[in-house]
Amino acid sequence: MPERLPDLQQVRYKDFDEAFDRLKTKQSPLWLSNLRTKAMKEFRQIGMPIVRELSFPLKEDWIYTDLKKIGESSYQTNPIGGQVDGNTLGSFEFGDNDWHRLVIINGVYSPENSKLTKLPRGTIISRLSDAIVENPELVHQHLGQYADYRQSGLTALNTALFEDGLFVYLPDGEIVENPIHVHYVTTESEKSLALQPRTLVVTGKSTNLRLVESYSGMTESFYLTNAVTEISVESEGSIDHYRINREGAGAGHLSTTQFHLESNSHISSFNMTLGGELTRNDTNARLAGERSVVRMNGLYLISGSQHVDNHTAIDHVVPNCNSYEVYKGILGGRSRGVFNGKVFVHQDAQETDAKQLNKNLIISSGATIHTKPQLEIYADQVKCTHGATVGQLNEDQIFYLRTRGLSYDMACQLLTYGFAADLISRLQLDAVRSSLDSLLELTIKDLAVA
Amino acid sequence: MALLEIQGLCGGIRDQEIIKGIDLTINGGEVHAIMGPNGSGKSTFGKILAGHEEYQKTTGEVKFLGKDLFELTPEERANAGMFLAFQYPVEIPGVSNAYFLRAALNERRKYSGQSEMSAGAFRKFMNEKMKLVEMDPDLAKRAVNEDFSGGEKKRNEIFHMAVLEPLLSILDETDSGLDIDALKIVARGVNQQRNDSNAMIVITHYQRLLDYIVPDYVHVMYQGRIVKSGTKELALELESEGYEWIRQEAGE
Repeated sequence: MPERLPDLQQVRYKDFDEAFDRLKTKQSPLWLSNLRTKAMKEFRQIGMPIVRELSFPLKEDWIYTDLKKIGESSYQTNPIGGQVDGNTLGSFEFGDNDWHRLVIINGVYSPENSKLTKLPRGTIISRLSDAIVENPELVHQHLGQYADYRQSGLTALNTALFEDGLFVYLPDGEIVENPIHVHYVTTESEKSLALQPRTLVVTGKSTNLRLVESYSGMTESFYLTNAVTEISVESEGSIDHYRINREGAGAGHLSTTQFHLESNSHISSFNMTLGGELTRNDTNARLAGERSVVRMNGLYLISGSQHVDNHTAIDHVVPNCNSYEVYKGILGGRSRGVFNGKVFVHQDAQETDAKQLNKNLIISSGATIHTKPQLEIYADQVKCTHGATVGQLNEDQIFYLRTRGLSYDMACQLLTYGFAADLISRLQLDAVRSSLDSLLELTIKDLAVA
Repeated sequence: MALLEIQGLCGGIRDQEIIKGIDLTINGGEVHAIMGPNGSGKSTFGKILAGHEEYQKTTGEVKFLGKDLFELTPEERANAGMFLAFQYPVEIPGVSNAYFLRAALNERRKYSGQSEMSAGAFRKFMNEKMKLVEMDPDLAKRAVNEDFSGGEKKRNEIFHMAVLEPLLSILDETDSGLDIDALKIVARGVNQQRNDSNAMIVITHYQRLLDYIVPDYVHVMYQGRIVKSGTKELALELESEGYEWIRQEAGE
């Protein structure tokens, strides 16, 4: 249990205390008020994970990512809404008009930019706040069941203070034909916003859906996104999931994503980080049913003074499950990357197949990466592999391309693109794959100059 | 104007002088073979011409199309019409042959004041060249040399050459590691590209390749110098006598 420094906490989190008081005055089902109260109590006990206040083993998880500045900043916590130019917003979109879209600007639903339709046979794609009113039992049954507020101060904070987000429910056998894009946008504001986006996706047996979550910032000033996403899939279900961070240059982005897989289900997730000044993603999967498969890939492209910390944890609880992780990083400027991949194989989880790979390309002398695989294996019939590489552009490759007529800079950009390209080319959703491919090319050109 | 004029070229790597005085003139329409035992400096010669940073010239002059070669960066040399087929072609993961060749070709065209080729026009152009060198179309889509066999890599070099249409091609031990069938395909691809304006320097250890890519001139290198020059008959003499008599003639 992290130690608490009482006086500091009172002062430090007063904005969040005020937010909680404000929420208490709003109408809310009893189960939700109780959940918020418990979560807030937990948050008041443990606060944010600020490394110098933590003891081992939790301290180890935050050793390279210091939340002191984020913890001590003062915030505006009420969702103020905002406007974003249609064309600008459009440039962050994917696919065609058939997609389901939910746009939330500064914590407030933006109907003119969203497209949510009523779906047949019990399928729900809606705002979380609407779902709490229209389907309270359903939300109650699942909200907070996968991402446990007792395990994390940040999850506790989000659970206590979230106001809106995305809710998706698929009954057994249902398929959502068109992909879903939820876009959490933050714009310029007088005082730094602290927002708590919450996404809850619950799918039944033999279901199929494709979901993109975007977190974007239209301002270079500091603000805080503290997001929690819970995605659960029942037997034989399949989810293709994308998460794209294009937060503002000064932003803090903290996220917890929890996947829950039942037997024979499949989740494939791709996590791309481009923006933010400080990003920390905790992406976790619990393989709770046999023969389930989770694929968690990620790409981070950072430069300047950006900091990106990807922590993942995969829990093999039962036998015969597979997990695959490939995270790649391209680091320029004086940026810092952190990767920590945990794999827990419980004693009963025989015939586990877990593969983990983290590859990093450093393109400037000031960038650093800390990478650590962490495998805890308690079963004996398992296949677990892990690998981590850190390298620079290869001089032989650069010379080879120059003898074909490409300039030194062009050669470096092409090689850098080639390093990450295979992760993007594997993406299944065409519209997202082609967008991210262009985004990769463009970002690399900027990285070279940074 | 000669394509390449070399006078008194000396150079090497770090403190080691490997090339100790080479004079050579190459005109359009000519194929020059450079042979010699291991350590004679054949590959170093090719690398110095192509502009590899680790290999530096110490003295001498090289004019490429009348310009001082050493005033040009490797990419400028390539854009001006020089091409090096590597002895050990490099893998470029994640970048397809098609993508990078179009970028390279357009750099060449920009350098000579031509307009860039569109994706569609390039596709057509590339397909013609693939037919010319008997290249498997699938290999164009794959990442450059990634998981290619040794023979496929060498054939890919010749394919690059075909697309870039260089004026001076330096083939650095293109035959090394190839079986006879692969060798014949590579040679056919090279021969298809010979014309009166371009020239080739074929660096090889064995005479066998020269049965298929028939040279106009053969030069033998030994200890960093060209010690003997002749026609294709010289290559046949080396084949039957070995390099021993070259060493003897050089006064060992």
